[in-house]
Amino acid sequence: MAKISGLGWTTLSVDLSDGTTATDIRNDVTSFEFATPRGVQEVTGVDKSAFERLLLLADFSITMKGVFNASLSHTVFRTVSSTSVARTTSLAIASQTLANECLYTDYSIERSDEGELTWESPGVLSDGTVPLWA
Amino acid sequence: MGRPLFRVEPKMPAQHMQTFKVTAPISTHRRPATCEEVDCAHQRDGWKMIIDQSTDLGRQQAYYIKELSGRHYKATRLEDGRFELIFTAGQKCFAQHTVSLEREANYLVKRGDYRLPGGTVRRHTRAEDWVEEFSEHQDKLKTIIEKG
Repeated sequence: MAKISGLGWTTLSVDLSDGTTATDIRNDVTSFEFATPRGVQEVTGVDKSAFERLLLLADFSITMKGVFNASLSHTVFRTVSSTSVARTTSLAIASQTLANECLYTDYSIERSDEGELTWESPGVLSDGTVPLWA
Repeated sequence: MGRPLFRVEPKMPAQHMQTFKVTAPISTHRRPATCEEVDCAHQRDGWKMIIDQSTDLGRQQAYYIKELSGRHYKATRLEDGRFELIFTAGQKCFAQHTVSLEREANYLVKRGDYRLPGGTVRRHTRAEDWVEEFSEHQDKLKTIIEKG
C-alpha cells in the first residue's frame, strides 16, 4: 500500500536502466526543475524557418537534485554513465501528472563541508514532444 | 563546488527560457534520522570496510574506529596489507541518514535556466496554482507546434 500524502507533491518516479521499471525517488529528491522555452515571440525572433522554430520550441531540459541513498535514487542513477536509455520521468503534483521520456546525461555526487552527501542529475527530453500535464 | 555537470547545451539562449521548479531544501525540509527510521541495510545486516593504513585517510579511519567509534568489529589482515573490518549487525552505521519532514515544497517559476541563476519570478503557495501555470504554458507551446 503506497503512502498517501496530503502534500501537493505526491510522486516523482524515474525508470531504472531497463527504461521500464518506474522507481519512486520522491523521498530522496530535494529539488526538481524543468527549463522550457519562455514563449513564442522570442522564439520567432531568434530563428528563421518554421522547422527550426519547432525544434527550438521542443527544447526542454530537466535537473534533479537529492540526498544520496544507496537503496533508492542511487539504484536509478548509478547506471546513467553506463547506459543510454530514455527513462520515463513522472511527476505527480496536485492530482496532475507530467510524464516525459528523458535522457539523463550525468550523475554527480558531492559531499559538502557539513557532511551532506548529495547528488545532481541533468537530463533532456529524448523524444522532442512537448510534455503535457494530464 | 564539484565538477561541472555534463549537460546537453540548450539550443536557445538562457534569457529565452523559463524554469518551473519545485524545491524541498535539506535545511528546511529534512531532519537527521536514525538507522532504524530508514531501515538501514548496514545496521540490519552488518557491513564490511576495507582500510588501507598506508594512507593518511586509512590511518585516520583506523584511529576513529578503534579509539572513538565504540563499534564492534572483527579485523582481518588481507594479503596486500590492508585490513578488512567486519561490523556485526545491530550497530549504528557511519552514515548520517535524513528523512523528509513531509512539509509542503516551494513551487517556483524562474527566469532563464541553469545558465542564469536566481531571478525567481513567482512563488506559488499552492501546488495547484504552480501546476496550472506550468500546464497553460505547455499547452501554449503545443498549440504553436501543432500549427507548424
